[in-house]
Amino acid sequence: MHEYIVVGSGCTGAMAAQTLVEAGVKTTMLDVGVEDKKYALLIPDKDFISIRKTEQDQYRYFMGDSAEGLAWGKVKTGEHLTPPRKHILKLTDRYLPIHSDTFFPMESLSYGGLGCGWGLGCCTFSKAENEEIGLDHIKMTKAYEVISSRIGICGAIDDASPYTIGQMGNILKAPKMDRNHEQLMKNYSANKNSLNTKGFYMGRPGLALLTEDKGERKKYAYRDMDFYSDSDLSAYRPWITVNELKKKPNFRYIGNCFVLSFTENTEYIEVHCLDTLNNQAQIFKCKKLILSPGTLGSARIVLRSVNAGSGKLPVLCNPYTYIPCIQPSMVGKAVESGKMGFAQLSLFHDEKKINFDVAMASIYSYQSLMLFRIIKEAPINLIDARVIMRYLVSGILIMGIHHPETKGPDKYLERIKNIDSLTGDILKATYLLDAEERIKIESREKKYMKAIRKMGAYPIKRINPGNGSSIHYAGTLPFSDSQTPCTLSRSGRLNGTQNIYVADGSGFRYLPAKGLTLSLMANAHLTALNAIKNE
Amino acid sequence: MTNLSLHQEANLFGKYFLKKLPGEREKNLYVKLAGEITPPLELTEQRILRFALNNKWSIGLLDAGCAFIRPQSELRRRLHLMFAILECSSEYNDLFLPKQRSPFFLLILIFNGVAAIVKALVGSLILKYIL
Repeated sequence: MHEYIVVGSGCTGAMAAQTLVEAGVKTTMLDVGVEDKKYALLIPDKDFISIRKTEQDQYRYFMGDSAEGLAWGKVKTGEHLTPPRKHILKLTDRYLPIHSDTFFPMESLSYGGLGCGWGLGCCTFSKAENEEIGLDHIKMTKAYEVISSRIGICGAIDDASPYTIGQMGNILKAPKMDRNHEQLMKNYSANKNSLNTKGFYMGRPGLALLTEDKGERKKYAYRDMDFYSDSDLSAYRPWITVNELKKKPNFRYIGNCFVLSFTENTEYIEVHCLDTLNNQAQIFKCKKLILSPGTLGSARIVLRSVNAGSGKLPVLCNPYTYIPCIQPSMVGKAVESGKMGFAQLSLFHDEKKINFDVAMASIYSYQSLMLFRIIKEAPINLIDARVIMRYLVSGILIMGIHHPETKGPDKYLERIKNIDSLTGDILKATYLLDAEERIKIESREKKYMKAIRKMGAYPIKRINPGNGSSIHYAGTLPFSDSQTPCTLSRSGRLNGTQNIYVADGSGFRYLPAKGLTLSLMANAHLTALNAIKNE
Repeated sequence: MTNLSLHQEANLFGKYFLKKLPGEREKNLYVKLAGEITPPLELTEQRILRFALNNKWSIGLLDAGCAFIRPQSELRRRLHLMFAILECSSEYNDLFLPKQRSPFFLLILIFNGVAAIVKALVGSLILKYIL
């Protein structure tokens, strides 16, 4: 019999497991754990430009051995991933089938989960946001510090810091900006008063990125290979934590294990799984179970395991739009080495100035993703497009806007039995924004476009990749003070059970637009503590 | 599609981008990947592709016409494949990296923009003729 079982090795699973292991309890992690065994070892420890100029086999990791990096036709969520990150999606079609005309989420069964492709954005939630979610703000504030000391977060004190690093201590200095962002920041500073009056605040994002060495992890080396490689471990990935835990005597990792459901009796919990190597059934027994396979994964497991009443679970996902912009003053600048692919600036829109109902835009440069990824969108021939894009690319900024999200009657998941599916079922998702929500999003995006124009960058096109594309999911098992089935107590325990906890974002009743991963990890830490304390 | 015709296609498409024949490595990669990713072609797609291969002067115009009115066409997909292969080659990467602007860069942008529109119009007419 296992003492504690944690399901999943993503950001929340890794943090929950670390808390348990540090508390001295015996912990087993069940995980499918797909890894990239093909490309990671091929990528040399060189910067992007050097690789481009010298490496003969670069096509293998930039395009993929089977050209899997060349998405063509109607692009689904996740197809933008580079070949070395494609393993994030592996096996999901088989084990996580989903049917929807309105919701296109990305899930993962990889070693490290969706955290393998995380953009590293770290934001603390305000008191109002944590309360709306159903979290204790004081406990969360302490938990943010714990997570920050574990993973290493860099940032800066500036106009954006109330929305990013908040009051957190132990923050590493922000990485240097490239000249495209420096110019934008300069223009922001020149127009600061007017932008602030309209509720726009810009500054450096909090990032789970080391700018100083931390144990075996090295400080960021500005190789601009962030979409392809984690070679120096400067970017935090959950598998770094799991690798460390594997060295501890009270931790055991079991891979190739897909968790289907659980049953609980007075003595123990049975966890029903499939061995992904042969699809044979497996059963593990434990005293306490902590689910952290991701919001949609937990929904599947709970729907298979308990009577879900109507059979429908709510779901939240931040509406997301990205806007490529051109900064004319930066057009036609020579190739720049020493860049980085992560977001370098964040632009928040807090119209009421109360740190609630805030929208967030992350701003990126476009260099290391290669021309071939964007050039196919140009409505002109590839020869002229190449000439034009070579000049324009140094001035391109991508602004990805996340909007806060609340529950609604047409945002839900259902489990549908399906004998053709390996799991015996399929998740059906419906996600429709109402007219009021759509109008609010439209109006906010227009304000963002106006603000970025004020900063000297001109929006080219507004692209809405569809519901689910933000890869921020929550709210399937909302926190509730009643004992309603398929809800969580404030401690993270699944109501109606004694020893089953959910440590991912399933309990969140509201989804702020700020990157939620830091809060997910902080909540996972608190949930693991609650499981130990039997709360 | 046979390997021999894919070789011819690689030569033509490589020359379209480089104004000279591509290297053996890039050609072989094109043959391998085009063979792997090509779905069964519809009759119209076959016609466009055949016309482009038989009339190499038309490749640029058809590329422009397809970009304008048939952006998902197979011809465009294969040209895009060759584009990506050349961009991922250490030999040709200089043609794809950001370029320092010359005093005439605005003129170059305007010239290429106008040329692209003219090619798209002519290409669209050729496409109508083919289809």
